Amino acid sequence: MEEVAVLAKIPVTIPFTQISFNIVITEIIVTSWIIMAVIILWAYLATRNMKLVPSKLQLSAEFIVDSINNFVKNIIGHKWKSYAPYLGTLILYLALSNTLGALFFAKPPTRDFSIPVALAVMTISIVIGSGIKTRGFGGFFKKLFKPFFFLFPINLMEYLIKPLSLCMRLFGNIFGAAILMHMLTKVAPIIVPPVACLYFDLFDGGLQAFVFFFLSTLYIAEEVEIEE
Amino acid sequence: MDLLAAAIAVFTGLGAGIGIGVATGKATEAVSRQPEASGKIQMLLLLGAALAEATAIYGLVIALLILFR
Repeated sequence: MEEVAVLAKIPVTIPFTQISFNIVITEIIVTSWIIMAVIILWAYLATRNMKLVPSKLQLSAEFIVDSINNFVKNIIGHKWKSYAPYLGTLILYLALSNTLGALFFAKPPTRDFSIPVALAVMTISIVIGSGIKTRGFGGFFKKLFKPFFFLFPINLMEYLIKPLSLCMRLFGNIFGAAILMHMLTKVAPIIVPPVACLYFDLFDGGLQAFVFFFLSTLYIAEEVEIEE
Repeated sequence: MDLLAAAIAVFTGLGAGIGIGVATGKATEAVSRQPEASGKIQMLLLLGAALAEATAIYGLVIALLILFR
């Protein structure tokens, strides 16, 4: 596999200490920035002067936000409002970045291991935070000992395995698809790659974005619900 | 030897394939029995397929770890 191109290295030294390291800016980080800029620009333009009779751009934003809100509301319940913005951002970013390979011949940012890890850590922090918010510190730790006392290690391990499987699933799917496409273009360079690209990049990328979003929603819903 | 180990690791795909096949078959059955519940069934199918697929992905990741360590 070809390596990810490094565009710049910024040496950083923390003042008054001997610690110094490089901040490495890779191709993938730049694509990620571009995606963020596109989403921010779209959100700004769509909501700039909102009217009662919406323009096309405003209509697209309303449709997407409304469908995400409804989906999250169905799963999480009446506390959906504090979690829908994060989950919506997640699916927008992932849907754009996973299908980037098909649309603009760029490397999808999720192909690098660092971005799925970051997203999974963000999701599990929100899951734990929402658990503490709904039950309080004591209640959160008490729940780790339910239903039996000796299930504590398993319950604790769940908080490690959830983000691990989330990031592995995303990274493995995108990276595996990239490897397969790389091999296919070598074996059959003519008709096959566009068709396979349609499946692997558009369909599978979109599906994985949705699955990541769906599982994050489910994990949060599991923490938020209060049993009698 | 590394290649052989990676090939064995990718055998996890077998289980995922069988699992997703069974899930899809059952979902089709359920939809044909109760077409009005197709939305919920689709959701559950997607979730189950994602979870079943995870095993294959673990195999892939382990194969990659073996190859590119």
